[in-house]
Amino acid sequence: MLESIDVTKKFVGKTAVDGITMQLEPGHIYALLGPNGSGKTTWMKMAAGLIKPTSGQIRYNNQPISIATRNEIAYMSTEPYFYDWMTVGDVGKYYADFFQDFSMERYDYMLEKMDLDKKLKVKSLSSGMMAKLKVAATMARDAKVYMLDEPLNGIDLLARDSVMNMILMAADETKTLLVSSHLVEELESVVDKAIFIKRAQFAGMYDVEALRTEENTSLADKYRQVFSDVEMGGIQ
Amino acid sequence: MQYDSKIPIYLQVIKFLKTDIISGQIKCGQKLPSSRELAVTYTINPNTAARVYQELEREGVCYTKRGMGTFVTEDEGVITMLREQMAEEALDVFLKSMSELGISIDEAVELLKQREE
Amino acid sequence: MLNLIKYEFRKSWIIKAIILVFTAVFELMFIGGTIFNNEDFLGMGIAFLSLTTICALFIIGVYGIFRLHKDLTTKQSYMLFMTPNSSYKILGAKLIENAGSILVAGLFYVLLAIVDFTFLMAANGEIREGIEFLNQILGAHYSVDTYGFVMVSLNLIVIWIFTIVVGYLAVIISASILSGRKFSGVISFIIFLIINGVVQKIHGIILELVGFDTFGFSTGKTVLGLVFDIVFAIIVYFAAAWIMDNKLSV
Repeated sequence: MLESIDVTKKFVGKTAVDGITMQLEPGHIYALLGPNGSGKTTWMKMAAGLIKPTSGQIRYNNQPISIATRNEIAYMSTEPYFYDWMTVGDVGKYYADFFQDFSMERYDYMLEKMDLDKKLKVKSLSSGMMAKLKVAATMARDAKVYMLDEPLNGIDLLARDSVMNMILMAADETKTLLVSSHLVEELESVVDKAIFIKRAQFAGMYDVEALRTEENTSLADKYRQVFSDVEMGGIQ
Repeated sequence: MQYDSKIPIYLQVIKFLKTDIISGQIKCGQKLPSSRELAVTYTINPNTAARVYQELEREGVCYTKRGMGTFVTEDEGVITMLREQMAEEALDVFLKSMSELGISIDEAVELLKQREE
Repeated sequence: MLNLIKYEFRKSWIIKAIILVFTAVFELMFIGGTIFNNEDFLGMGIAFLSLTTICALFIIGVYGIFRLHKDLTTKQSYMLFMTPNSSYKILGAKLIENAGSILVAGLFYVLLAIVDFTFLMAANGEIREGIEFLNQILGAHYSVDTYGFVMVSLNLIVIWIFTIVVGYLAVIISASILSGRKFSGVISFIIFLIINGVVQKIHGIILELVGFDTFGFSTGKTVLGLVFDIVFAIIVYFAAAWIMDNKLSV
C-alpha cells in the first residue's frame, strides 16, 4: 500500500503540494487528475524518491520512501530523459543493468508490438515513438507500483491505444498503477479510481464505475464539476 | 473501442459480448478469454472485466470451470431467452424515441412496413 | 557500482578518444622530427605534446564537472536518480571514473615524457650533457631526475583531482541548496574558490608545522602533500554526497 500522510512540498516562493493525505491500494488503476501545475508531478516525484517532502511522509508498505523503494516503485516522467547517445536497444540494456525486475523478453515483446526498432537512436524518435519507448521500458519492469506521468502526452490515437494496452497488460491484483493525464476522456474505461488534485491539495477520490451507476456521471463530468471554479491560467 | 462514458462500462461490454453470442460469433460452449485478456481486448480496467464475467455468470450466460476458465453456456434455451431479452430492450428504445416524436405504435408499424418495401 | 562506472565512462569516452588521436599525431611529429633530425618538427612535437598533456588533464576534469552539472539539472538526472542507487554511489562512481581517468591519463603522459626523453637522448648525445649542466646549476634540490619528476607530477595530478572534487561540491550546492535562487552559479563559483583557498592555506600551515621547506623537492613533503589532498578530497566527497542525498530535488 502506498500511503501519503499530510505531505507538503514547498519550492522557493511556491507550495507545489499542500498537505496531501491518501492511500493507494494494490489491484487498482488510479487516475491522478488536475489541471497543469496542480501538483501531480511533484507528488509522483516524491513517491519516486526524487524529491523530498518539506513535511509529512510517503510510505510504501509501512516503509518511508527511500533508495530501496525504487526497486518496487517504477516511475516514468513526462519528459524524455534518456541519454542522447542511446539507441532503443541501449535503453533496454540500461534498465536491465539497474533493475533486477526488468525483463528483456517483455521489453522485446512490447517493442515488437509497437513497431519500435532496437537500432533506432532515441534522439531521432518522434514524440509518439518516444512516449511508447518510455512506457515500454517502464512497464517491462515487474514492479509493484507503476507511476506514469502523462503517458499520453503528445501522441496520436494509435499510439495511445498501444500505450493503454501495455498498461493493461501489466495490471493485476497485486499491482498499483497510477496514471496522470489531462486527457480525462482517454482514461474513462481504463482506470477504476480517480484522484483529484486541486491547487496543490487533495480534492477527493472516486470509484469511477460507481460514479456511473450511482450518479449517472462520467469521469469527465465529475472533473468539470470539481474544477469548475479553477481558473485555467495560460494556454491549456 | 468507443464507450458512452455516462453508462457503466461493464454493462456496455456485457452487451457487446451478448450480441456476439446471439449472432453466433461466439459459439455455445466456447471458451471465453481470461478477464485479463478481455481487459486488454476491450481496453477496460481488469476489475471491470472481472465484473463482466461475474454478471454474465449470475445471468447463467456463462460458467466457470475451475482452473480452466470461463465458457459460454451450452444451454440453447438461455441464448434464445437472451435474444428475446435484447430484442425487447431494442424495441423499448425504439418505441421510446417514436413516442417522443408523437408517433403511435400503429403508425410506427406502418413506417416499418414501408421501410420493408 | 560497476554499472554506474561503466555508464560514466560511456558518457565521456568520445572526448578521451579525441585527446588520444591528438596525442598520437603530435607523438608521430616528435618521433619523425627526432629520426630525420628536423628541428622544426621536433620542436613543434615537444611543444604540442606538452600542451596536449595540460589540455587533456584540464579537459577530462572540467568535462567531469560539466557532466555532473548536466546529470543534476537536466531531465537526464532521472537516468541516475530513478535507479536504486544512493547519492554516495552515484557520486562515487563519477569520482572513481573521473579521478581514475585523470590519474591514468596523467601517468600515461608522464611515462610518455620519460620514454620520449630517453629516446631523444639516445638519438642525440648533446642533450644529456645539457641536462647534466642544468642539474649542476640548479643544485641538489632542483635536480632533474626521473624519480623526482614522477613524484612531482603525481602530486600535481592529485591536487588537480582534489580541485575537481571541490568543483563537484560547488555544482551540487548550486543545484540543490541554491536551486531556483538568483546568482546560484556565481555564488557556487565563489564557494569553489574559497574552499580551494582555505584548503591550500591549511596545507601550507601543516607544511610549516612539520618543518618542510616551502620550496624544492623532497619525498617526505610530496607524500605528505599526497596524503593531505587525498584526505581532503574524501572529506569533500562525503560532504557533497550528503548534500545530494538530503537537499537535492531532481
